[in-house]
Amino acid sequence: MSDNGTSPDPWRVCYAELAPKLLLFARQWVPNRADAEDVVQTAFVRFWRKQPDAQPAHYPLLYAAVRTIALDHLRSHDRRVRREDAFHIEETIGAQVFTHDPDQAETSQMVQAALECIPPQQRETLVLRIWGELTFAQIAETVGESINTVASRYRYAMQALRKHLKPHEYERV
Amino acid sequence: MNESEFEDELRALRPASPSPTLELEIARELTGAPRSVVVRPAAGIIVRPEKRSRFFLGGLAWALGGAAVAALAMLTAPPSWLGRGVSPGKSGAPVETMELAYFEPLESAREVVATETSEIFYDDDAGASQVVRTSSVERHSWTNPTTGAVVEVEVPREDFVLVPVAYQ
Repeated sequence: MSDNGTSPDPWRVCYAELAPKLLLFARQWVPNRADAEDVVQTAFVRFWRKQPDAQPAHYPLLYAAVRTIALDHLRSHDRRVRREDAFHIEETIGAQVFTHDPDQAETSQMVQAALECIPPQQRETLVLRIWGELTFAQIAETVGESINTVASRYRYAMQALRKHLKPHEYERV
Repeated sequence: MNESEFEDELRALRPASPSPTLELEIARELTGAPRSVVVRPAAGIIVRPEKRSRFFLGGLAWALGGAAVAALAMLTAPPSWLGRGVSPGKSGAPVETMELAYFEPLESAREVVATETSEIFYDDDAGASQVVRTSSVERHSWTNPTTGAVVEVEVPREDFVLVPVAYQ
């Protein structure tokens, strides 16, 4: 609630709705959870400082902000990793990217593992489409590509994901 | 399983929530609120007011005061107030808990209770000197901007000051 106790601040409403999705998106580029949260924080604060009257229609811009900051972070992180290679493996092991649901624990682990096998550009398209719930047009604007390109990437990503999950389906049967 | 069913199965997986501290950090940056203190049971950290004398000897008293604040805060707030890395529960509740654990410095005051001056003695560095002992009580208070709760701590304090004596 806001200070006067009447209604929540707009950014809090946005945060409640988007924070898990933004974090998932950030972790496609920055696997370490704490680093990904830093990325989300920076993006969120910049966005709301620039657009204090932002409406839900503007929210897809947050994904673009997260992407930009995550890629910047990735570049600096890569430089650091080259210097501190011993820490690389430890830092890229992150916590679960999906909520812990006992009924879906196996599925979420398989999907998480399969996502890591998909090329990054396809993966981000898939994440934005499925869990970010963006349209292809919004995804195209976010990643700076044409709608046809992101639609193709999505199609390839779905095929790749199914391919990686298929052996597990056989096991389950 | 067709494409649509596969998508639905993927959508059924919900992205994990951020740690509760993320929203607090964002709120702090967006509202420009001063950096306040998180009272944590493991740390018992409070903002220590400015130190007033180099001869302050009340370290133990501070430790007791900090413990008292931590104990009081534990009684007034739920116990799930850990930092980043805590597995989050339903969105919102842990954050509110964290907000409940924030205290900001409100007031500090010192009341001199007694003073005592020693006999004159000779110090190698300062020459003829006296030790002036001052007994006082410091009162510090913190407030929680969310709940309006106020925590007050009284700290006994003794200062010993070496005062050169001038013969004129």
